[in-house]
Amino acid sequence: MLALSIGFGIITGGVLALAALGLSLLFRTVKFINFAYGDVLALGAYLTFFFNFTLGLPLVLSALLGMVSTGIVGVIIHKAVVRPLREGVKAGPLTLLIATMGTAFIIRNAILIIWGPEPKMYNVATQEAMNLGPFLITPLQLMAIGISVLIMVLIYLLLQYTTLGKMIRATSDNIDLARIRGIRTEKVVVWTWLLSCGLAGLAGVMLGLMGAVDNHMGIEMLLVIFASVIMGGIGNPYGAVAGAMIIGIAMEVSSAFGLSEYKSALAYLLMGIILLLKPKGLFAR
Amino acid sequence: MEGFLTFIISIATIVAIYSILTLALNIRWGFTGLLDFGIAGFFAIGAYTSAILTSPPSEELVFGVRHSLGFGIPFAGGVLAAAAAAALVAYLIGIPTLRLRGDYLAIMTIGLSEIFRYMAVNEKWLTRGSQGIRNLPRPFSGYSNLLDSLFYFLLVVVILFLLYLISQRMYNSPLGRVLKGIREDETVTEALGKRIFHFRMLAFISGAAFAGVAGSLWAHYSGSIMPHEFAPDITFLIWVSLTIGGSGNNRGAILGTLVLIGLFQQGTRFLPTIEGYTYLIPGLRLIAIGFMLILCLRFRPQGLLPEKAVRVEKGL
Repeated sequence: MLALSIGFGIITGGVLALAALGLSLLFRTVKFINFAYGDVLALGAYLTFFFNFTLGLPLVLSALLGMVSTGIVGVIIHKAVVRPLREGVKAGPLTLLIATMGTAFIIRNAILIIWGPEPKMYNVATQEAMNLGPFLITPLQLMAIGISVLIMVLIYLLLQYTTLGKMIRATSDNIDLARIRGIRTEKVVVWTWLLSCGLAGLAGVMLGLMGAVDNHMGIEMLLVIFASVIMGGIGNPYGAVAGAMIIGIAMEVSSAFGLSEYKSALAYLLMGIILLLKPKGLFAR
Repeated sequence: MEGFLTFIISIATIVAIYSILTLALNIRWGFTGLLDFGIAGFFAIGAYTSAILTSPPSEELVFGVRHSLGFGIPFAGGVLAAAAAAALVAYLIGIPTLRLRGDYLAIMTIGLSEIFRYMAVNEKWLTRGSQGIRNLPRPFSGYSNLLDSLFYFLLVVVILFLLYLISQRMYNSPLGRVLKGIREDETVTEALGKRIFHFRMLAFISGAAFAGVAGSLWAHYSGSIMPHEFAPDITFLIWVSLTIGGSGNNRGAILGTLVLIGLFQQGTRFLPTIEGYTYLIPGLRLIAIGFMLILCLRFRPQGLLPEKAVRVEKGL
């Protein structure tokens, strides 16, 4: 029983880690917390549903299209909401946070109007669970965790070894210095939005595959992603991944003990304790 | 005619109750700069405290659990208890959270308000879960529908006015100057010997008490409360009201609520639902409110009634 829930926890954590990684990368570069991130994640899940179910495209292609369009929505948020506020009224991080809360409501209600309140399921065959050591796992979940790990490795390689990755790191460390060194920081910021929101979209698809796509996904996941990111230290992408694993396992284990109604509350409690004891996160440098 | 008057009075009552929430947010964010996204939570605590205390004791079974909660205390006791309960909860969660950076506080408060809502759904022995607490007593009943609602509206307006005076007094007092100092520059205020944490706590607790009173008034206005009424949507509406009206200005807070909730949200209640598109009108309304927030932040960040700039004596 415990092993089973730890197994589910690893899967949940793996998916959460993608979203947490995206939010953390974005925060590092733009220096404010994007409150629309949960709803961007939900939008990714719904757009994929549109490609997969409404247009009848294969799931993998739909997920890819969903991810790219979610990334583009991220770029639109940057160009239509964040940049005008930064340049027009010199908005600080708190004003930008409030503005993204407005954006979150726009996305959430657009989803409600277009897709209604009923949960949606992707067009995939029913999954047969199989035994993998002490864990019970469906091929789809196995694929989800595999893709999560693959994407995280790719992001790591991107950040460490490519020119774009180096430009992203330089811009997030010190935007003025980066600009002086000839980096086109605006381009880097746009790429970061695309990447971060694309990751959110992918995480949304995977969550949708494990359960269903529904209206509450955005706000619920936002809170859990925040907990993961803060646990690992905000703006520390690798810490965010570790935080997500801890949160994912804690949530599923607590469900096994009959506390499933309060699993997001538990994520919050853990975050509160970390903020009290180590405000810079578990892996503060 | 009577139907129309009742409609107007009900909108006015809702605006007055929401104005109390906007005043609460103004004390926290407008005066002190506390980025609080948990207004809905304190609103819920007030509503549930008052509902549980004023309901008559009952022995009925709810979901197989004997529901004997309900103390039958009078309405005024319910309002005071709601304020006290919200203030107490604010004190307890303020101890760990008020030391946090602004954006962390936003995350903690929105999370806590969601936790309160989960509790209202799940702790059925106390809150009757999603079925909600019904048949709440309302003061002034038994005249006529119109007179009952008119008297209740007047009562809410009197309470709003009292809270406005308190809030205004706070703003202009030495206490208010310290709060504004914290908002503008924490380090300088601390260097002047003010205990930042202590004053933030005061603002946080006062805001909670206001929101608690609003919750209680809401519960007795609508006669029944359900957990989904306290979703983060309320917090969002209050933020937009304050931003539009003018953050830091109490009159602006009330004006913003009147414009957003009264004219825009409730005032468009007569719009018909379109067959087959149930969510179109309510959804578009919230989308428009989202755009209003962003446009207001961009083009008129000071709001309709800006906060008065402090005059500084030159010379010396």
